[in-house]
Amino acid sequence: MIRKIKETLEKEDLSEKEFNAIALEIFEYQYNRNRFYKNFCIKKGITPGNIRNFKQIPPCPQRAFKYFELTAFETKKPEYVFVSSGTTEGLRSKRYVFYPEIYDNVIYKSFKKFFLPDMDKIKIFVFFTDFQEFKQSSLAYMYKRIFEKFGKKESAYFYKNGKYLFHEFLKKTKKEKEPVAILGTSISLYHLIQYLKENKIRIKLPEGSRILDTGGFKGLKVVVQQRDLYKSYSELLGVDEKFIVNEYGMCELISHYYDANLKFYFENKNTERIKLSLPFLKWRIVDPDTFEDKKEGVLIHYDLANFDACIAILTEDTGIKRGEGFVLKGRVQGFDLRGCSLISELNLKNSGL
Amino acid sequence: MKSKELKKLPVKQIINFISEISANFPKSKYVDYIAERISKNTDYSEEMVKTGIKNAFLPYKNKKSLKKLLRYEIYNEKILDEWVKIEKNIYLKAFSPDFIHAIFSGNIPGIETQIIFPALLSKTCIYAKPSYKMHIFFKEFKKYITKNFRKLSNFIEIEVFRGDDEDRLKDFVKDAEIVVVQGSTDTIRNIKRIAGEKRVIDYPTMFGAGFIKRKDFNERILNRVALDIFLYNHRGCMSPFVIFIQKGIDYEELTGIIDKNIKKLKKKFKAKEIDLNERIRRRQVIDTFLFEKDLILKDRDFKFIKTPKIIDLFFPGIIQIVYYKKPDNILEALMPFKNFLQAFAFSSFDKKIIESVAQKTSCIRITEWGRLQFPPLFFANKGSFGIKQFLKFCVIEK
Repeated sequence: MIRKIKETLEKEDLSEKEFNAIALEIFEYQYNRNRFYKNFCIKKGITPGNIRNFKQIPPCPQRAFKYFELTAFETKKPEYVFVSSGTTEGLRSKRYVFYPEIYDNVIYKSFKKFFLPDMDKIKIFVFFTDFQEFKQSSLAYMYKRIFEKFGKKESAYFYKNGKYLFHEFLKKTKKEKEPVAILGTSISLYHLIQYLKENKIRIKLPEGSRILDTGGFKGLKVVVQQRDLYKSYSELLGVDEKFIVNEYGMCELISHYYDANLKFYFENKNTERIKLSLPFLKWRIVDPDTFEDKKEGVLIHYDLANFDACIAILTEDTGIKRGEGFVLKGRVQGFDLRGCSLISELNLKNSGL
Repeated sequence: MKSKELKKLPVKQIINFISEISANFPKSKYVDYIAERISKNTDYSEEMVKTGIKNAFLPYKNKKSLKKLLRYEIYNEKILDEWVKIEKNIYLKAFSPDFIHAIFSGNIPGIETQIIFPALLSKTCIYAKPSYKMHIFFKEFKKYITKNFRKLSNFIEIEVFRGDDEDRLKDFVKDAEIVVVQGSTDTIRNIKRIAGEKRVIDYPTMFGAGFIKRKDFNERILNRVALDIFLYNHRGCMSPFVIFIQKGIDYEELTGIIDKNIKKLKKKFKAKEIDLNERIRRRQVIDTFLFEKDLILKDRDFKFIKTPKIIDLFFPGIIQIVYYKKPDNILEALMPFKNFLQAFAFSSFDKKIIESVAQKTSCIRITEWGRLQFPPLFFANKGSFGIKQFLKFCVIEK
């Protein structure tokens, strides 16, 4: 199975038929190797023998990763254990990574295709914790890998010991003559923008510079719209909006989506901001009650690289179909419901789950 | 806000005002507009909003009942106006704060009356932070009051902002003496954190439940159950989250009939699709439970789960069906959640069950099916009708 996955992930193209066949094989593999997931599938009335299409695979709710060890290798020791940033009453999703080389390959291929299609290396400036300081973060891991693989010698981290190093960043970029890539979460880059605004600083990064941000704004005490933030990136850092890319991933998933605008730009296409990924990651937008395909609804991901956990993930994210991709609309806020909804949230942990 | 004007009004006049408002406001064009706007902002249909508002104002129409309410709460309503002799040489008067800061959850249309009228009866002005999506209610209500009851025109001030804007929230409660908050446990926890040492009167999340006896298993009862589930999209503390079913009733048939009745109600109320975000969370919650729990899911418009005991899954749109053999089983099953139960419905009066639930749990309303969502005036939320909580009493001993 591992060899087969590795071969599949190397492919530039994957037909629907090929994808389907491997997806069903992985489903069977996971069904037989994870008792929790098996129980769930049985309750849903689905077993490996009675489905023919990968869309029928019961998608594992993202939330279940907070309560269960969802891995196809229950007895094997993982190389890494990543946890989600979002919590439900202190619980975080856990994602066990047994084959980091597969993860690395997915990171490299996606980043290259969607963020660096025009060059092999770039100066990378990261506004996030170094992986050494935060070994449970899949994002820190991803940045580390990107930094090492694609970063030029002068690349640097600008967040250390819990502090942003904005001043050092400005010193470094002042003399900059060649394009740079800024990587960070939307929140960390929001703080950068606030710093520039408060100090009335406006810089113009060299042409070809780009920004990759990720994540939402949960935890910020103010309401921020992504489009306003991107406008600020453009105005205060001098980066063309076509060169601003949002990456969408989650701890529970190995593969990632990227805004395709930069890729489209280099292909001389309309630089529409839609999310795309590599061929081994498919998605559906469905109605959460009926699971029928919809133009707007909740996202389900089918990731062949997730062979060691659950191939199908039912997210808490809403999206809208656009062209060959989708636009991420938002994440359902965990504790924002009206009515008597939260007694369960308080005590779910103690109820045997 | 001029609280002095309100303080000067005799309570009798306030009762008259409340009665008039409650009789006329729900019929007014203001409510048509509110319904239209709320329906655009939320998943409530116009019909649902109008029903909610109508039912929320209805208990306050009757002057005699309002007076009776005050007498139950403070024994003599005149103490709100003047020093009243209660014994030889002893005089009593009730004092209310100039204003309260009230944060509304907005989960049910018209629920605001449960704070507005007790505040008014106690001669307390309100600084209101309405629910963001339903703030139009307050705006229009204030317009209506200003136009028709000039003496009350300064009684309410409104600030509209999103609940997750913490800076605005801090600013809002900065000068508060008393903060009243309706909402989820998380909202209340957040407000308490922000309010610091200030007094917070909270109305946290609770749940409704009820039972159906085998002999009452009929279309009429199940239609009433459907109404209690359906109205306000199964939100709010009165909604039945747990239904106890006497053994011998078929689960498939039961959920099938309720579902069919809900479909009829959806047509009648021109129901809209329930908010996507809520449905996503509901799916996440229920599917996560399916990983381990011994549940049987009926995945209908509303989700029914058959479970041997109550599970900690109180979520809009999810109804737990728990079978019982003996009446005692109901209380036994409720005990782990006894502090969260607010309202309880019966299919036919059973003194033993009702007494035990009233005695041993936090339940404060027991009613027949079909009325869970219509609390009467004498509904002592948190053990109080809501007036006394704003008051301070003082005696003069001459």
